[in-house]
Amino acid sequence: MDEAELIAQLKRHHIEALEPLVREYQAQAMGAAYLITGSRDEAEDVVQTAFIRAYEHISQFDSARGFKPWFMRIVINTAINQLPKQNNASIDDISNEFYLSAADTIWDSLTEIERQIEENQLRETIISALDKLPGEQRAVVVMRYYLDMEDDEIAQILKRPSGTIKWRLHNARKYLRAILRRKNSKEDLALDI
Amino acid sequence: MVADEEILRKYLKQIGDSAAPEDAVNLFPRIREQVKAIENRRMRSRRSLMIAAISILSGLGMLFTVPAVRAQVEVIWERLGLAFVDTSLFNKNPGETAQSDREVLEATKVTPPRRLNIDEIKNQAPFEVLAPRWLPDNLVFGGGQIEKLAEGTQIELWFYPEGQSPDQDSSYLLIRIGPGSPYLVPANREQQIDMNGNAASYIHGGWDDEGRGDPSTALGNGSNKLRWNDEIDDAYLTWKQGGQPYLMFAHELGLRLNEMKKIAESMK
Repeated sequence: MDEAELIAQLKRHHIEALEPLVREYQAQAMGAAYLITGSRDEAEDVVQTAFIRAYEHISQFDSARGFKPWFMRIVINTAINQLPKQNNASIDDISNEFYLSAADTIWDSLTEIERQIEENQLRETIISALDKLPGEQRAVVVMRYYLDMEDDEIAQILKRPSGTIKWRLHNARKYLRAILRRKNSKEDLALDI
Repeated sequence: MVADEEILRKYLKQIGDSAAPEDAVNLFPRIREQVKAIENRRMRSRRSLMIAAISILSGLGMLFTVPAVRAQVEVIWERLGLAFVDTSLFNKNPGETAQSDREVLEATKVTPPRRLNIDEIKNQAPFEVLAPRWLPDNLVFGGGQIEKLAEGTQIELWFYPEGQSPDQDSSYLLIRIGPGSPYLVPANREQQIDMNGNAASYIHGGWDDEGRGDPSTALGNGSNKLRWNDEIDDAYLTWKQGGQPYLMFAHELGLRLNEMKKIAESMK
């Protein structure tokens, strides 16, 4: 049964039609929610809630468009709302000191990585770096690099001007790049925000 | 720069994908359970509103005996277990019934009598009970009830999807034989059909208390306004057979006229 038929059945309140869609999208949705919340349990809650919301609001879904972008929008917004409020500040609202301090911390673990060259540690480093980003900023990175969304699509989901998204993505990229790069001195980590 | 982005993309994919390996997760059973729980809560709320509406109708029914009042309430008439409402007349006096709706919203908790098997029902019924010989694949008989009313004996036969506990009541088929409280439905949705040479009525949809549905087919006023929503998975079929009124009500089963008619026609 194709997606259009499943959607038509969902609009007739046939819950069983949700199962193939859950099977199709749950893994990627869990991944995105996990990268934003940083917790597997919370990610599972987010994805369950998102599917229930999708089922309940399926009448608002425009069948001419794909289910995936519409559903991922629900996942992202649910995940962001799940984050503690203080974590929802924009990267534009916080000081350079915050970033430099965060980058210092990550840098220290990176020099460790340089010695040990362990992929697992690099993954941990990225998780830790993501965790230092404010919630919405983190969502932007996840949407861009995990869900491969375009800037305009991200802007639409977060209801921000496209220019704002481009700027936030630029800053987040710079911050994460600083962490991922193997630099010789801490001065090179300065971010020109 | 591109290389950095690729590294970031690669590791984010690894981290994200490790959160839920595709073959290790199946969230659907829990999602279905939660949806059913939400729908059951809503159903109880809808039943409360239905009770409210029926209470209003009962009040109107009593007033119906007064000729002066009768002229005012001719918007409702009953046939074979369905109370048809001319909803267009409800749109003319907004706010008039809001207070009385609120007053009767408290639902009474009722302990249902023990469910009987089909042989017990046939033995105790004062008339011949015709049970369906054909049912959709997954539907099974879940018990019945006999109730003596002032107007006569009422028999209810309940059918559920296989594996669903009768206590859940989330999806079911009810066949009611004999008199009983009418189901309130809008006159403009009635489909008159022929069943074995007898007149029958079919209606699909339900009252929605969440602002969805047809605004021109509404019942009540104010905050408790109900709209008829054709997308709600409820269906009603009524007919008369062997001198008894029959009402078949399918809830959340995806049944439509053809299948319901087939069930009804198998009751011989």
